[in-house]
Amino acid sequence: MDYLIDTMDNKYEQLETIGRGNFGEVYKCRDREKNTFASMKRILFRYQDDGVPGSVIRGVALLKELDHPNIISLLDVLDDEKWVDLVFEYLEMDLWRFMGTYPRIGKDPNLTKSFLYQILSDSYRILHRNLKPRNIMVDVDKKIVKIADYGLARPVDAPVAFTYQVLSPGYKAPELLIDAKYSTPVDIWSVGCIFAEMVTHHPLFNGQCEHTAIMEMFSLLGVPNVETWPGVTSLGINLSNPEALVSGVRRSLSDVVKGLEPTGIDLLAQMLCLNPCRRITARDALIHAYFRNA
Amino acid sequence: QNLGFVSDRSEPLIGLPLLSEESFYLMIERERQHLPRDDYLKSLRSGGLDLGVRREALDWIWKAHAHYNFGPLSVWLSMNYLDRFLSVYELPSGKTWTVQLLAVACLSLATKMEETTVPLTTDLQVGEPKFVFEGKTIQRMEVLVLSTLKWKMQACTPFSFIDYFLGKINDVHQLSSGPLISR
Repeated sequence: MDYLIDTMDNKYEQLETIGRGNFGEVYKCRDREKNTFASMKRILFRYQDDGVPGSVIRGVALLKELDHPNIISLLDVLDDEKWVDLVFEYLEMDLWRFMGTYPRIGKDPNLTKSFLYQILSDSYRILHRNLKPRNIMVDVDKKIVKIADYGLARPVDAPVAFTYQVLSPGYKAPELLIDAKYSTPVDIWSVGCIFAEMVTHHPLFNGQCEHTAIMEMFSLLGVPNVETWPGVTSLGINLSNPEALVSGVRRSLSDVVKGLEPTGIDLLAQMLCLNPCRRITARDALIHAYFRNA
Repeated sequence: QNLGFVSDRSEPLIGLPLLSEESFYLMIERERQHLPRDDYLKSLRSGGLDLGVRREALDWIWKAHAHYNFGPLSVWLSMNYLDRFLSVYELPSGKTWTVQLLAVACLSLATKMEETTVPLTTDLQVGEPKFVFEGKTIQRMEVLVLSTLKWKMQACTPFSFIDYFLGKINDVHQLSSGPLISR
């Protein structure tokens, strides 16, 4: 890695490697002038005849338009002939580690409420598709969460320590799992799963594959039918034998997400509506009664 | 099969909720951030910048555009990049090849933002231009344009406003919920 130290812009001092992305490695850096930390992602341009990769241009351009307190911000773009270094705001802890590290503070109902509100207030601006605790960073002191899931902004595509969460379908909406058309409601679903996990500190759905994930959802939320989800029959799930699509003992949301106040359960149920068309929107969720006594 | 997500509960897909007054003002604000410097037009008119050079670049972009059948937004974006670049960066005078290189880089960047299939940068150079550049050179120019424009490539275009004004004319609140994305 020495060549990186030699060539890196003098503005930043390179510290340890914190992750590996699809494009290259991610480093923790120190801004020499401000004496603050940042994370730096170096993206190499591999093929000269293609010029700068389109995905990089679009990714950075998108980040340049986003300015929101609950989004990890792009601080700097350092370009070179053969690569570009993206410098992001650095937060050490993601929500997943936060819950593991602070089992008590992390379960504070007011904190859960505040984090959920922050996540929702950002999430309608863009389609994420893959929100999960690993992609949400936590500023522990300020009690602020920031979403770090904007393609290139994702600090770690594959963390150094590989975890179950990387491939787990646990936060994916049903319409994503069955290959149907999808839109912004998929993010609300994921936020719902995260909401439940913030309360219990256990993932709501563990499914190791898409099939078991679907079964888990149906077991908890009921098997959809043409009444609850018009058009569901054309989506390739065989609903003729609903019993075959559920497993284990039927439980209700309030049994599973213990300790959540009734308005919270109501909001959660609306976020976890199987039919994406009837799922609550971020806008409506933000004015839900659950947030009224915050 | 369309699931019929265009319902009361689903929201426009990407970015800002279209067509509301609030987002309209945001778009105006964004448009302002993606314009050439204020004195650009004046320096084109007064001859500080060579209007002929700009026309030549545009001519070539139209040619390449027609050859590859790119969408209208690609031309618009190319010229947005080119004008913004020229308004802040002084190319060495008397070297017409630099303008051609700039035109190639701007079109290349615009197609990468906008088109689903993009030819190799070297293959973009159709219509027998006077100068033809290597991939390496075009890439360097792309980087220069990107950094000069501070990577703000997602320009707010006149096209972005069409839905809003159509909605005003038709007096419908929501013209469309935007296209659906399919995996």
